[in-house]
Amino acid sequence: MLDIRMDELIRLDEGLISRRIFFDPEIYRAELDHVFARCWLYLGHESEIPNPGDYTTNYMGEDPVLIWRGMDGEIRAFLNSCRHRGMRVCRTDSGNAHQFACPFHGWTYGNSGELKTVPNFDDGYFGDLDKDSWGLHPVSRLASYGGFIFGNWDAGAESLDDYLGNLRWYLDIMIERSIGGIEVIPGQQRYSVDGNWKIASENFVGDSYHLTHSHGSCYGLPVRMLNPANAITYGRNKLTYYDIALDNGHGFTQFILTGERIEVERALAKEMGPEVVEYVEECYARLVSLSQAQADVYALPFGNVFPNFSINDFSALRPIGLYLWTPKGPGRIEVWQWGATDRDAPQAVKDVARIDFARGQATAGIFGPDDTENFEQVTQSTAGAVGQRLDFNYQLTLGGKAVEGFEDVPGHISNYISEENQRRFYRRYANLMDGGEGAHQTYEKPRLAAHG
Amino acid sequence: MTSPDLQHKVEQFLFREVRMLAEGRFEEWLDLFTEDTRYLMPIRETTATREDSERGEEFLPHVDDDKDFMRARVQRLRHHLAHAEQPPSRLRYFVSNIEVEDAEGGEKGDLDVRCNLLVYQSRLERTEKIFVGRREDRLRPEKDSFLIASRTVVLDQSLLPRSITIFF
Amino acid sequence: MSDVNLQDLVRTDEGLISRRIFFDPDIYRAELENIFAKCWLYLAHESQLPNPGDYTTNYMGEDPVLIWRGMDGEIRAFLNSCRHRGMRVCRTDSGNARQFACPFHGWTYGNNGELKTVPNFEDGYFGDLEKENWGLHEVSRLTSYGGFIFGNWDADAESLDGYLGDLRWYLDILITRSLGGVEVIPGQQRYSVAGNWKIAAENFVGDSYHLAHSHGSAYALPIRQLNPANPMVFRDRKLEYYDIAMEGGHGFTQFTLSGERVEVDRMLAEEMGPEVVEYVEECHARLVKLSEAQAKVHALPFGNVFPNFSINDFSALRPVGLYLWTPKGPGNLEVWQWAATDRDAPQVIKDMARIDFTRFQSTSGIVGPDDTENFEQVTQSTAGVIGQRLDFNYQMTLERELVEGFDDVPGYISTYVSEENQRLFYQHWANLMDGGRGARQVYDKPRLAAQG
Repeated sequence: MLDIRMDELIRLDEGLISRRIFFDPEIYRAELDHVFARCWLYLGHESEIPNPGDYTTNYMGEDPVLIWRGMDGEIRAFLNSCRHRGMRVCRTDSGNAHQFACPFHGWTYGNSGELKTVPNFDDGYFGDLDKDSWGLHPVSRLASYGGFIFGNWDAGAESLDDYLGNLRWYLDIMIERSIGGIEVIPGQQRYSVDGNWKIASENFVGDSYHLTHSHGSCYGLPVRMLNPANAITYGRNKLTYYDIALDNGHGFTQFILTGERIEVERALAKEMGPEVVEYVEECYARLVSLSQAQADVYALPFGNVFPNFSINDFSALRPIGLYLWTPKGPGRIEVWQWGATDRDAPQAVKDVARIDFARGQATAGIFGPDDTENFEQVTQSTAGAVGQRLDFNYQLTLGGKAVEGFEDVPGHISNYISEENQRRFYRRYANLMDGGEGAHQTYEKPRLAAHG
Repeated sequence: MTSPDLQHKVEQFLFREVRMLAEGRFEEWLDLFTEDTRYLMPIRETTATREDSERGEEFLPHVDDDKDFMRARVQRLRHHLAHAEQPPSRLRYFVSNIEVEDAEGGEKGDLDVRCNLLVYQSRLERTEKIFVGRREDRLRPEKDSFLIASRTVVLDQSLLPRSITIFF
Repeated sequence: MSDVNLQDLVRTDEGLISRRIFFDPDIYRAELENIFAKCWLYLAHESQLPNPGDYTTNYMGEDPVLIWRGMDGEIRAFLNSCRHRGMRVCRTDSGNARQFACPFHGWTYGNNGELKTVPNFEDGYFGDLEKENWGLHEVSRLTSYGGFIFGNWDADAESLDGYLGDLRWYLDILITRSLGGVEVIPGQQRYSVAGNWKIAAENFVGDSYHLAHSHGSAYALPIRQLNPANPMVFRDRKLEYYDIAMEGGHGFTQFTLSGERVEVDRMLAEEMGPEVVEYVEECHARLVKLSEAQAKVHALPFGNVFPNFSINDFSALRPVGLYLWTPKGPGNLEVWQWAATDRDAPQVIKDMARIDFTRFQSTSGIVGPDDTENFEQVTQSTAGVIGQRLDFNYQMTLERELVEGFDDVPGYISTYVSEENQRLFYQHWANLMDGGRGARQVYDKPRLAAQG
C-alpha cells in the first residue's frame, strides 16, 4: 500500500512540485473524480447550437456528453450513453436531431433527454419500465456565461458565477467588447498530444516565460503577429506587462493595464480602413461605459479557466481562441479548439479571422506545434522511476510581492514574467484533490489480491 | 511485357475504382464487376512455411461472394439501420506495385492484374484501423475500360484489426 | 475509501448492473483468476486434431495454450511456454509436430509434453536437471463433450459434465443430429474488438432484443436468412420463441419448442433436392430416438457456454458457428471463430457451409460488424467516472413468471424477448467472483470514492 499525500507532492511554499502528479495513474483517476467531476467544465458556446434540436458533443473528463437544444429552446447536456446498455447514443460530432435512437436496441430519446420509446415495452417490460427515470443521464448543473456553456457533475457545486469569481470581470471585457455577441466559427480543430493535461493548462495559466525561447522562431517573421501588443515584438516600446492570478485557480498572463492595447489596436485599424477604425472606437466606447479600468485592459491576453479551458484574446481585430485540454489518461490529451469572432465585426475583420486563427495557436499554426513538442517531452520526463523522484521548479518570483497600485483591477497581480499564476493553479488543484478542505486524503494502490 | 499504354489504362482503372470506394459510390463500383464475378478473401494463419499461410479453398475464408451477395452488402449499407457504417467511415485506399499480364485461361483479352493495397479506415472520433494486403484481379476488356471478372484480396493480417464493414 | 461488494455492483434482483464491472482493471484481474482460471474453457474440437502429432493453439484467459495429440492418440493441453525461460514453444497456429524445440535455448518437448532434450545437459547441468519435473506445464483438467474439448486450470473443479449440467441436453441435440459427428471447417477467423468480453458473451447468452434494431439492415435483405426460423422473417407465422437459461450461467435464446424448426428445415430441404430431404428426415429420426422434446427443438438457436464460448446452430442445413471471446484486458477482446458441419451432411450442404458462414456472423458478414460497433461503444461508455456511477438496465421481464408447460425441457424458460438469461449469467459471474462460496469479498474501490 502506498500513500500519496498531495501536500508532499505539491510544496508551493518552496516552489516545488513532484513530477509524479503528471504521470501516476492513481492520481489521474483521482483527478477524474475530484477535479473533473466537481468543477465547472466548458462544453460549448450557445452560438454553435442556435436552433431547437441543434446539438454538439464534448467530453467532461473521460465522459462523453451531448449538448442539445430542446424543442423548448432550452439547452441541456447529457451523458452520451444509452441508459439500457450504455451504447453511444449520438455518434456524430454535431448536427440537428429531433431524437436519437440508440443503435443497439433502439431505445429512443427526445431532445429534452426524455426516454420516448422502448421497443418491446409491452411484451418485454410489460409496461412496467418507469420511462421517467430512464431518460438520458443529465449533467447535474448547466449554466452559461456570456454564451459560454459550462457543465458540472456535482449537484452541490457552487454557482458558475461564484466559480468564475473575479474572472468574470475579465470575461466581461471580451464579451462586452463584442458588439453582436461572441460567435464561434463552425468547425473545430482536434489533435492528440502525448502529454498530461496540466502541462497544457499551466502553459496558458501563466507561462509567458516560454515565449521568447519556445516561440522565438515566430517572432522574427515578417508577418502580422498573433498578438499585436506582444511583449516580444513591442519590447522596444517598453510596455509594462503583468500576470494576474484569479479566484479558484484561474489565471491570465501578459496583461497591459494602462491603455496601450487600444493604442496598438487603433494603429492596426488605420491600415484596415475607416470602417474598422470606427468599429474599434465603438468597442472601446462600450468598454468605457463598463469601466475605465476594463477599457484600459481592452483585451484578455492568454489564460486558463480552471481546470482545462484556455482562452486567448489579444485584440478586437483578431479571432478569439478557445482551447480545451481534454484528458485521455495521465499521458494523453486531446486538444479541441475553436476560433470565435464578434458577430457584428466588420466583414473585413471576420474574413481574416478564420485564416488568422489557423496560422497562430492552431493545429498547423506557427505557435501550437512548438508547445506540443514541449508538452510531450515534459510528460515523458515524468515516466521514469528516477524522474519521478525529482521535482519541477516553480520558483520564478517565489516570495515576490504582489504589484500594487491598480486598485480597480481584481486578482493577484504579479510582475511579468512570473510563476505565481502556476503556483496558485496547483494550490487549487491540491485542495480539490485533498477533498477540497485541505484534509489529507490517503491514496491507495489497487489492492485487490489475485487469488492463487 | 505490357505496353506503357495498357499499363497506364489499367492503373487509371484501379485508381478510379478505389476512389469510388473511398467516396462511397458503391452502386457504381458494383457495375465494374461481371455478373459471374467472384470476390474472395482467404484467411491467413501463422504456419511454418510461407506457402501454407495463405489458406485456400478448403479453409474458412473471410469473404467468398458472388455478385448477388455483393449487391446485398451494398443494399444493406444503404439501410438506415446499418449503423456499423453510419456514420460512414472515412476511407483512404492506396494502390501500388501494379503488375499486368495476359491472363492464363479465361476469355480472350483477359488480364491478370496484381497490386498491393493499403486501406486506412477512420471512424467516429478516434477509431483507426489499417488493412494491408494484395489484390489479384482478373480484368476483362469492356468497351474502353474493363470489368472485374474475379478478385482475390489477400490481407497480410492473421488477426484482423477490426471486423470488416468496407470493401477491398 | 469505500468497500465495494460485488453484490452491490451486480444487483440482478433489481435488474441493475454497475458499468464498473466492464472497465475496472482490478475487477478484470480478478476475473482472470476467479473466472478464467476456474471455469471450463473451450479449447478446440477433436476434428481439428485427428492424427497423432496434430496440434492447434488457443488462449485460456490471457494464457496461451497448445492443444496437442500425442503419439499415444491422447489429446493434452499445455501452457505454450518453455519451462526454462518462458519462450513460446509453438509459434504457429496449427499443424503436426512430433516435438517442439524452444527457439531460445533449444529445450525440446515431445507431443505428450515431456522434456526430451536439454542442450548442455551434461556439461551445463551436470546431468542433475530432473527432466520429469520440467515438462510443459499441463492444463490441469481436460475433457471433451461430443468432440468439443474443454480445459480447466483448477485441478479441483467439478467435472465437465457437472459444469455443463442441463446444457448437455441441448448440446446433445446438436451433436446427435450430426450423423457423422460435428466437424470443424479448417481455419479460423480472427479479429480484434475494443470491447469487454462480457458484452460479447451476454449478447449471445440471451440478447434477442437487439436483433430488430442492430441487425435491421440485414433482415431487410431479400436473401436466405442467417436463421431460417428467424422471428424477424417469420413474424407473420407467429412462431413461439423462448429464451432458456441453465444453471451455471449458460443460456440460449430464440428457441422454438413445438417442432417448428424441423418444419422450416423440411421446407428448405425441398428446394435443395431429395438427398437433402432424406437427410433432414434422418436427422429428425435420430433426435426422436433421443427424445420427442429434443426432436421438437431440432436446433439450438444462439447462446453462450459460460464464460465466453458462444454457439449458433439454427438448422441442420447450415453451418454451426463457434465463437470464442478471448479477453485481452478489460477493454479489449479477440474474437476467434470457426464454422462446423455434420461430417456426413450431403455435399451440397457442405459446399455451401463455408461461404454461408462468412456472410453473416463473421468478420466481414452482414451481422457481426454491427455487433462490433455496439461492443466497442458500450465498453467506451464504462470508462468515465460518471458513467461508472451508473448502472446498465437489465429489467426486461424482471420478476416475471417463468414459462411452464414444457416439463420435458430443462432450464429456466422465459418468454421471448427477455433479459432473464443475462441476469442469471451475471448472477453466476458474481458468485464466482466472490469465491464461489457466496462469501462476501471486499473489492476496494480504487483509492477514492466517487463523490457523486
